[in-house]
Amino acid sequence: TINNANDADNESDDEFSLNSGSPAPSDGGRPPPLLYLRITNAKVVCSLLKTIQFRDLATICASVNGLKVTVEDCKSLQANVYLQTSLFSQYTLRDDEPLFFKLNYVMLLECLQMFSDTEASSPAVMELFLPDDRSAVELHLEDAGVVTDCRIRTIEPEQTLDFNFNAAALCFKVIIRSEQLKEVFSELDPHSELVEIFVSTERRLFRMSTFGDLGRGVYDFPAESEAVEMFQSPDVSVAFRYRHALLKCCLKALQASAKASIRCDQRGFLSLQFLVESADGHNCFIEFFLVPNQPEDEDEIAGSDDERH
Amino acid sequence: MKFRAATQDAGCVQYLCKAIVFVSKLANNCVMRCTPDCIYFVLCGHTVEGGVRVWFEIKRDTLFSDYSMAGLDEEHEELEVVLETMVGALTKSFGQARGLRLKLTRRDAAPLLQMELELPTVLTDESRHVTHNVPVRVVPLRYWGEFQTPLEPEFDISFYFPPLSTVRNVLDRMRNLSNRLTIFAQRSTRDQGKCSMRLSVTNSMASVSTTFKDLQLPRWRDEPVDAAGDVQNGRNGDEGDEAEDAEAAAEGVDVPQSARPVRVAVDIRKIGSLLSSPLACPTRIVCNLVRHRVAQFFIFYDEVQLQYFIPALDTE
Repeated sequence: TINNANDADNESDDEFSLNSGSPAPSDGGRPPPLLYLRITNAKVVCSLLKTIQFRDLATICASVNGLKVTVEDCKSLQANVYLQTSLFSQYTLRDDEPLFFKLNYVMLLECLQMFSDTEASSPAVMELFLPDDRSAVELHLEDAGVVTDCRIRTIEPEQTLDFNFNAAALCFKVIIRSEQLKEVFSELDPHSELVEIFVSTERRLFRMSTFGDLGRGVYDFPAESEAVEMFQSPDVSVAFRYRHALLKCCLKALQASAKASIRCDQRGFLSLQFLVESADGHNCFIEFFLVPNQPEDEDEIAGSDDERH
Repeated sequence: MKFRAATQDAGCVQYLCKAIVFVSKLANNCVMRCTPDCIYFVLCGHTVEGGVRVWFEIKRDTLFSDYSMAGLDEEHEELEVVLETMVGALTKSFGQARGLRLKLTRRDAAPLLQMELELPTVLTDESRHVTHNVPVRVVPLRYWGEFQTPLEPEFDISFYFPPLSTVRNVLDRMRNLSNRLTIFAQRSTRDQGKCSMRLSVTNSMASVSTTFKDLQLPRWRDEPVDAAGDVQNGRNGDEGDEAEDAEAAAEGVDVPQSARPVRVAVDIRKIGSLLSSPLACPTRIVCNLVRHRVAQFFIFYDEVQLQYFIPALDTE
């Protein structure tokens, strides 16, 4: 249970001396880092990043607009958290082109939370560097004289999925308040492998259904209800089914948000966008793309089409 | 052999019980060693991977109003008793105990520790007395050597550990990376009276280290101090790292013995359980490191002192 002895080889005393200060990447002859961020609100950043931690790896894209953190699952689900530059007290991208790197997301979150559990009222100050060689992401946290340095090795980034979501030719769009939507999400029958989203043009409602051994669960949001802020109906009623396990990955983001925008394109690809409001007015977006379940993958589902109308 | 101790102070009873429960969680066997001045609870985890050893010392005056004992004979004025089941007897009832009386007795030639707890009754002011008879084994004389208080050991470096609240959180996070924790400590060149400590963990994906600076150095009793103010209780470093010597020589730096970093790798879970004590916050914790051998913790609470030895993962 104790990690292998090779770890001992990784500890070299020569980088150890406590009596020298820890070198910042910008001195000592190293070229300046590709990316440098200074965060004074680590707790806020952490809580946003935790909402999409359903897999171990994440790809991060740093551009002049800020960071986009992406986590994917099985080519059917993609989650993105957008952290604009205004969230950081300092944000420096050395070259103007966007850069991509990939790392173990669990490790990153562990390091970011190193001080966030203490009762200290002053939030920890944190710096993040991606050095020129891109071999690892370095974090430097300082809190009341205690200094923590983390190095998280990077992995060769792969192209993230592009779902070709056509926002200009939507099938439907609804905006629903998260307070009501999250109740429905958490009540969905856990034994139902699929969740169906049905939007009716004639009756102007948004419906989520589950199909379990004990029966069918049906949750309706009519366009006139208070929870629905916007309802752009499809030309004809549509229904698409999604894997429940994938939809569940959205729950944390939904719970952190104030409202959810659900858009669907002609192929049934869903784009869920959650708006997270923060105390200081810096709103953030968390976005999910889901691929609908293909009919040939479905098992026989109880209930006939008539039940929909 | 005789042993009798009593206290009528609810606070003392609580304290003793909490201490016993805490200490019994750290290792399996519990030996109670009574001397005229102190009671020690000694736990020796003799296990294959190198056990943790604990000495918990309570001065009799602190907790007991009445205390008397007589050892084996005039030469061996001590009593050593194995108490595996003492904890079970205490945990259920001690919460409201007003008094406690301990007495070593025997029934049918088997030794027992009689624990009499004075508990309140629901409706009246009178107390009821609940007596537990805990079977004990007297440790044979030939094993007493194992339970002697260790002399203050030679160490490579000794310093006051930083506040538990900060260290605990860091260790909790580090535990998720690896079970192997490396402790480095080094005297500060700027200020001979201080040192820095670094805790670090590494796995295939990440490495994390946290550095605590400006930790005070304690003064050990009777330690000889040379003209330069360096503590001489440390070892001469003859068995130390040749690699460290070589590096220092390569840099052309004449590194005094006491300023070389001291490294000990331990199992992080053993420190974690030590730091999560139900007793009130310790007044101070001293950490002694013996390079590649052991990390020793001396934890001082108001009335009691706990010594905890964690062997290094790779001994040389």
